[in-house]
Amino acid sequence: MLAHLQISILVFILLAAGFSAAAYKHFILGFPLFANAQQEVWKVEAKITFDAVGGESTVRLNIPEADTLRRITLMQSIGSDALFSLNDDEDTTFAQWTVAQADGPQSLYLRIHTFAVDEEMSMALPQGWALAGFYEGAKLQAAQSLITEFEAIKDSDERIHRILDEINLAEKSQLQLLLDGSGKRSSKVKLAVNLLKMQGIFARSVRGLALEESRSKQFVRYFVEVYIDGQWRLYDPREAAMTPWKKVLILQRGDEALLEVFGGFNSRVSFSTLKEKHAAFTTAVTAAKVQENPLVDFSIYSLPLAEQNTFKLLLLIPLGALVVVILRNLVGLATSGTFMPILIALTFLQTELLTGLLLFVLVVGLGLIMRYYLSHLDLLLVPRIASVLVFVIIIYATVGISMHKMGIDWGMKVTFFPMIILAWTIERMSILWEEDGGHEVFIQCGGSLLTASIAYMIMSQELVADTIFLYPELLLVILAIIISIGSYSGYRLSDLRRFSAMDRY
Amino acid sequence: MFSLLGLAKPSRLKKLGIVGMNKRNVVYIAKNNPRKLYPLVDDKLKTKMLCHQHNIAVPKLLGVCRVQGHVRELDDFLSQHQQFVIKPAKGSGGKGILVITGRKGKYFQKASGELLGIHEIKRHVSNILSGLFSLGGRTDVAMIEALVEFTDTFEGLSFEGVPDIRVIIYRGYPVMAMTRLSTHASDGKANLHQGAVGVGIDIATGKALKAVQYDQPIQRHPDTNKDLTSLVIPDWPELLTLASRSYDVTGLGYIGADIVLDKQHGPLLLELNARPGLAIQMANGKGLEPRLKTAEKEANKGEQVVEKRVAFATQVIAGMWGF
Repeated sequence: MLAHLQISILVFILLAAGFSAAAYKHFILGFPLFANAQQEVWKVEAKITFDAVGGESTVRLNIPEADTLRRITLMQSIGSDALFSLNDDEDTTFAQWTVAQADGPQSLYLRIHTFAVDEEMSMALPQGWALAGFYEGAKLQAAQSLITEFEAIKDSDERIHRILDEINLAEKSQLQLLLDGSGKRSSKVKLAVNLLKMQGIFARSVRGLALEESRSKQFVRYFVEVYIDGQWRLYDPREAAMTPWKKVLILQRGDEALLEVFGGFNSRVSFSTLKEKHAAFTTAVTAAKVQENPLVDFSIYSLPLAEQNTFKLLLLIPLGALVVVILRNLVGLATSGTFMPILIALTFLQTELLTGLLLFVLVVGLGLIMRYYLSHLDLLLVPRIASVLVFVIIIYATVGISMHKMGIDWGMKVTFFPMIILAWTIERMSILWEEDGGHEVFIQCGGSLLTASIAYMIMSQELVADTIFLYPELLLVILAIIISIGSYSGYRLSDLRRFSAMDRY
Repeated sequence: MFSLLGLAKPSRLKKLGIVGMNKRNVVYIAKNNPRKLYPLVDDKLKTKMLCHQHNIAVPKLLGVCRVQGHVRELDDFLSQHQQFVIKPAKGSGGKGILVITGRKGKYFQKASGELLGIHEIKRHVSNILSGLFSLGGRTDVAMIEALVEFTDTFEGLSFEGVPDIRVIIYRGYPVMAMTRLSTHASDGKANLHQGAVGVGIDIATGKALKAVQYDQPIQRHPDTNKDLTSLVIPDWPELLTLASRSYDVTGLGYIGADIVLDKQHGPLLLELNARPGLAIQMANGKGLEPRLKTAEKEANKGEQVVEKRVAFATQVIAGMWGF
């Protein structure tokens, strides 16, 4: 009983560890559920130009902060020998270049790769923001009369839309008064923010890039962040409409400066945006690497690509083992050699199923005929198996060459079969034939090939292979299943068949 | 659904107390047979030595061929013996057993009547030593044993083969027994799935219960047409005691004892098996589980001497039919 409890606890721990690691990677790190998912990755390039006045000049560009919604996989200064650094200063993040000796026009480039992992923005609401005190006298009265009018609209989205729309039109006299006749976007956004705050709604102007299509030249635009009905919304003041978070790369919030240049003038920043489709999984891995997440840092993904591919194949073997365990202990199928079917299945991965089956039967059949002769010689064990091994090589060569001559190009695939395993299989089958008859050989060969075929069909699914590569922690889940089958003491399917006569007693 | 596919209903088997492969391995073998004790039964020479130490009757050991050098001495050695059996110590499933029943001039006669020269015998021993018949091809030793003179009990009931009696001993209690009779179809082998006849034996009396071949009930031996159900094993209490003592000497909790009946010496322990098969349930038409459970309950009350265990088996366990 104690062992039973131990197994239950172990299985539970393995399942919990496997699934929670996978869930963490999926929900927190943004790994896709299936490896074939595609992700929209934006490649943004900022171009900063300014005229240096000689001597040292420092350039600071406000850059997007890491938030729950967006991952940044690359942040790199390119094509410049200026000293570059990324800095965190209280609540702003900025990229800084220091040019030692500069004179005349300068240009600096910053490359950012980013993708959205979420639809909803979640961030803390600033504490102690002002509700009033923006206007006085006539302006205050004008603002209050507008607010009374707007507050009649109950639907929050509709109300914000109206506010932004009215400000855009600027036909109302109160609005003209409040804007001081200014048509500038910044003034309009500031007015909208103030009016919202006076209604008790937190709002903030932000500047960012619209990620809508690939464009070679783009400028930062104003947006309004609003916290309403318990959620953050983003509004495009020009359209006077809500805009999805993932379509905007926010560079600057509130009163932060977007670009600061010390020791230069005439500074400008422009952006180019390029949309690319990437395998969602690659982008998630890159993002986790950038964050130096230990789960990714110490994983298969930290290996070079070629080694990763080796592991991709190795990770499939436990799946094959699971198939063997199920077929042997739940179904009760007889196979020759416990895990030989897995190796055959791995070979099938390279040869394709039908070709593989055909070649296997061909090699083992020919091998059995040749081995039959050996049994008359009464050789010692090791020399006998060594001879069978030589036979196998000869059969490989014969099959490969003769098929090649016949113009059948898949004949050469015979070399993918593991020859030591085949030699042992032939040896074992031959002994089985002598001792228990050909019937038993067919049962065991058939069982092995059936197991190998089923294992192949699972292992050859790209979705399966990619998913297990994406979530190697699922191996713990497979282990849990194998362990629980290991303690299963119920009937096998073969028991039900074998004892079927008992029904009639 | 199950019967359509030719399968038994799991609930029905459960009711009969049939033990399946997984249950045998996980519950009975893994928990009762410590791995370190396996060599005691997997190596028949070790089993034999153990039995000698504890005065358990076994077929007499004439000699052991341990190295190839011994093979040369076989000429001299075998000249003293008319009848003998050569078997690999680590062989399984009756493989590599050579039975010589007599001499014809310089030839040795096999049980089937076939004649062999000394060279063929030497080669067979050589093969045994090189591991031809042992599991995994490990090197082995050849045992030369005296031939058992079978009682007449099995006259006409076994075709060419060695009739033995298998008793399952659970924690020292005999729980089920059967005898396996070879047939023409099984080629002299006592393997049930190769066509040997299994006859369930009543633990209480030693009388035949029912006979099966290829999982189907039969009444008469397919080759000799002799009635199988009239079989009564002589010396039954003595045989059960012998089988039951194998637990005391090996310490293995779940064991299959194979016993032969010698004309002069009575029951002799032939070999022990730490992974006895489940076909015995079919030959008895009963499941093992209720009996194993009962034996376990009794064993948990404390160690008993062999006589008490056998008595419990014949009085209580023998009467069990299912849950």
